[in-house]
Amino acid sequence: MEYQSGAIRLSKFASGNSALDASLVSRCKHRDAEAFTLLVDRYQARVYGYVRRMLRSIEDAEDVSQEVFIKAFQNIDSFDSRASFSTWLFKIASNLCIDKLRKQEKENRVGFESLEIDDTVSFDKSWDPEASLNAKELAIAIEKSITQLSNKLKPVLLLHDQQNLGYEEIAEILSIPVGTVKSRLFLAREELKKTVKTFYRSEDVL
Amino acid sequence: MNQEKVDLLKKIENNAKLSPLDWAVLDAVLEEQQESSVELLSYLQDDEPSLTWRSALNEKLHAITQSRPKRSRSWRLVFLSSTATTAIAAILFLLVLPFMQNISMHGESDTRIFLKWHEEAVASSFLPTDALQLKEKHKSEHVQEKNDIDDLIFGEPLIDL
Repeated sequence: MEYQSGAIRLSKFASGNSALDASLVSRCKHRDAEAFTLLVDRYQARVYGYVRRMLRSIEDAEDVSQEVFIKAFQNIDSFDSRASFSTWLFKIASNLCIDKLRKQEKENRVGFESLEIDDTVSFDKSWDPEASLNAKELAIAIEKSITQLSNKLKPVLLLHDQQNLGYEEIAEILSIPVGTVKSRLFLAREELKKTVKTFYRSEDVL
Repeated sequence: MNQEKVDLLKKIENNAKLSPLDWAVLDAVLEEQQESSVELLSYLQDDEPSLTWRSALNEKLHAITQSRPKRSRSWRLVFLSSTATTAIAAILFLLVLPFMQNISMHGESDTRIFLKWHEEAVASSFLPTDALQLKEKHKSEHVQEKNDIDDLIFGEPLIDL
């Protein structure tokens, strides 16, 4: 398997410039709308990706991810600049997703049959068509596995292993103890591992 | 390690309390899984939202930005009108206050007058408590009526006998 792309993505997240965020947030607090546009540019993919995997419907994900930025814009004055902007933004996103999922559970209108998984995407993991096909199939399997995770395990796995946030940040975002973050991450990874094992029919993937 | 992992998984699934050793195992397992799990999730597609999504978001943000000055203007109007009302009320109160004090002083003097009248009325309707006092009172009340000729003709009044 080709993992280079993942490493590039990880380094992109790891290099998130918090000083730049702080500067943009400061400008936003002085009613600089352009600064907020730059913050949206920086975080829209991460927030949208997180929300899309938390919720099952793409339409809901689009609405909720817009709401995340609108709420952030409206409440930027209440943001404590000592904290990380990304933590604050993902906290808003997580709360909105949890609210949405609760509403959906109440309405009981979402079942596994309504899962929306985009399988039209192309991957540039390798120039080899066969490898590309495998990567695509694996991605679909992972997407399905994540979708089937419980609402408790899913955000922990996405925030830690996809958004590259630390245990403490996730604990703050989800308002749970650090120990719970760790145990949920372990369970989520075990679930993911089962799916991937099924996909490869091998014990050596993880 | 594998058996420890299986035991740990069972404990966590059963919500059992973890010992310090369990926490150490958990940390080690998470560390071990870290790289492969991150790499697996990196296979998920990049989620750049559509231009339509961004355009709609920009419109909403623009609408909020536009509504902000209006809101501040309206708040300024509310603030100014309430301040003006308070000021007018304060001026009216200051104007009316001396009259109220005057009325209050008059009220006090009237009370004193009434008290004086009352004391005089009480004094004038003084009732004697014994016969000697009654006699003195009668005398004082009938001083004007006493006539020497009557005394000469009829003698001393019976009451004085």
